Amino acid sequence: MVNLVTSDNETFTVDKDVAERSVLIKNMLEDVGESDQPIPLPNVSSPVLKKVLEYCEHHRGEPLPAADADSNQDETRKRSTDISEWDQKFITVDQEMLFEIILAANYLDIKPLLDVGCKTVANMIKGKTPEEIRKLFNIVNDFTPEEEAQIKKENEWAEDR
Amino acid sequence: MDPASILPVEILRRIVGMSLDEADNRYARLEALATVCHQWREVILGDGMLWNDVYVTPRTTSGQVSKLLQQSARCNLLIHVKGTLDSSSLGRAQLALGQYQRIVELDMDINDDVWLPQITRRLTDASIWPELRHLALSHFTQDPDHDVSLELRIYAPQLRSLDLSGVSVLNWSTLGEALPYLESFSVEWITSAASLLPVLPSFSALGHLKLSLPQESLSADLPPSFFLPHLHSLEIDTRELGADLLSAMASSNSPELTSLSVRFYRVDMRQSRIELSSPRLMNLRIEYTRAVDEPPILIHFRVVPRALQVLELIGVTDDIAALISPYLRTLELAYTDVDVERLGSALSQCQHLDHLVFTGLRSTSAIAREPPATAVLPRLTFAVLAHRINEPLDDEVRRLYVDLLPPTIMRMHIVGTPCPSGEDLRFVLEDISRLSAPTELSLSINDGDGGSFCLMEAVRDYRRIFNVDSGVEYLEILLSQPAFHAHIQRLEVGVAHAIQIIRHYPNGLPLLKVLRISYSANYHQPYDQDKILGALQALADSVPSPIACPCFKILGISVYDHRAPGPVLCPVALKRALVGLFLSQEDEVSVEFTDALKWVE
Repeated sequence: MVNLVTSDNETFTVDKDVAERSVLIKNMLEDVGESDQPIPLPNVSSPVLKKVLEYCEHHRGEPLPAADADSNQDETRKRSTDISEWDQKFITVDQEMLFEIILAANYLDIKPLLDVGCKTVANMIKGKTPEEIRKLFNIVNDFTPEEEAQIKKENEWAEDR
Repeated sequence: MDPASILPVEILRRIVGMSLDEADNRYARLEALATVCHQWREVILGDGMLWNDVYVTPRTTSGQVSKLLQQSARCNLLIHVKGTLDSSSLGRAQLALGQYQRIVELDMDINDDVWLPQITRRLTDASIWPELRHLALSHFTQDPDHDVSLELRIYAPQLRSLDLSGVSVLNWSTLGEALPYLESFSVEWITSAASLLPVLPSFSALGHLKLSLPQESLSADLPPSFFLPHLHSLEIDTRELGADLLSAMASSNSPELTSLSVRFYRVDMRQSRIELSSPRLMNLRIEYTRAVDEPPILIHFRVVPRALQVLELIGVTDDIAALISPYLRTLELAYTDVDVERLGSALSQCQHLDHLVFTGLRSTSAIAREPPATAVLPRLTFAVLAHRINEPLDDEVRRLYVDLLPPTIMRMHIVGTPCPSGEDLRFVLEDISRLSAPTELSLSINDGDGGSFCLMEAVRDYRRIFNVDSGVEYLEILLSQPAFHAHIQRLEVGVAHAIQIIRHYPNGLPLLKVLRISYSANYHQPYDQDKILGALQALADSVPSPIACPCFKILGISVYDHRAPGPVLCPVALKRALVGLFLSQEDEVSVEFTDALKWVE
């Protein structure tokens, strides 16, 4: 078993093979060897770690992606945005939690979870107009009318040539 | 909440990349996303990798191509040329190809006999394509016997994969010599296979070869020096296969061959059998597509591979039991004869087998019942048993199939009759008792032509499907399981089964949300309004008082018969009585019904 301590000082005790879905934790455990020392995770709060561990628990035993699986940007970009049924249910959370999960997956180096999070946001963006995206994420349109006109002109130039 | 203000730039770029469709509207989409706000614009314009996928189609403008090439400056390029090009879009394609020094992937799919040679001349004209790793040239023509022959002499020292479809090369060996690191080579729909096969060794690094030539006959006229030292994967799909060719390629001529997949419609058996002598084979699939009507083709292993993980034999035969290795993960046998007793005994050692398909098999022996010859396959998750067209399931093969099933089987399909009896499958059906937390258990039974019985546990995508004439036997076993009562959420059944289930649970079903009942007419049970109304009334009268279903939300009623002269007229009072069968705590129970049903006062 491994003890993980969150930013809000909550301790989670989990099976080693669950914790080792995180490459960061796996490397830490390899570095410290056999030890009962708790592993501090100062960038992850307890509600987020709880969700992350739910994911790790469900996917325990599955083969881990190769270390260089993401090194090829082209391959990453080409990957489809399909998400399995369980993962979809798992990631149906509010926006704040979704971004927290993505940040935690990035920090903990859990590539499949990072992928699920990014795909979810990508699917939210797909097919939406800039205005709809602004509404979705509460983004302020900070372009001046002059800037907007200039961008439009540039784009029209490319469309027409 | 703006992801740009929360997430690191590289993650936002990744998200933007994932949100782009694999199509020629990438450019317009990126331009649109870059107008969300300044921060998004900075992120999107600042990443050349988002812009390096250039599609040239008849709709693409020169301005778009120029901007993509400019935005992606210094990044590797992926160029796709698609569709019927006119002279101006040809110019755009040439503009993109002018960046040949940074192109890593070039995919050209052109439906034009004139432009393809012009565009591909560009490939030959450039002295060297230093970064090109993947090249796909495809020429689609209505005439399957007509492919384009090109004088293709491309020097791409990094090229790893080459796909040619409908495109032949005048001098294959020169091409091979210019591509020293080509690992994967695929040719489809070409007519010059006879000149390609003997010179394949000129592609000296070849690891994967795919010959998809369903119009062609492939036979061997290979030189004595024919040798593919690195070939590990070979796929052949052809109309007529020379047994001698397959024997020559799956031999010491390809000492590293680990994966062989062959599909053919006819076979030239000048050699009396197909001989396979690649000792390292791990994955083997041989499919003789006419075996449904014809006797199976004989294959013979001169060296039996010791580590087969995938064995798929369709319409071919051999001493199959001797091929079963302890490492086997997938076994598919179809349209062939099997000695079930020896096969069962051999399969007993397959502790890793997770995928099993038996289709149209005929047994040449019977399984000895005492002592049991076959052991359950502990890791089996997917198992199919299917009959041969117009024939029942072979009794011995069915017994072997049932003997091999573990109770935990995840997906089980049985197509054909006679099905295993309820008693035979009791151990699988009773496995439902292991459910401990509420799961989305659903059951559908269709009594129409063909019939089906489907039990699904949605949480783990656990599924069991049987084709049966009636689900009664299986249903009775399920009804005797307390877990069924505790977990069932959806029922899709005929009226008779609905009555049986409701009567079985007078105290209610705690999780039942949806009940869809059907009354389907077929040739044996023609349309009859009185019978339909009588059946629905019998359901309404099936229990003396309503049963407790606190979660109940949807009652579906389907009645259908394409020969019906008009809708079945059903009194509203009957609808009320059917809804009234269920005591629900939901605000409303909706009734969904098909057009063939009309409610009347």
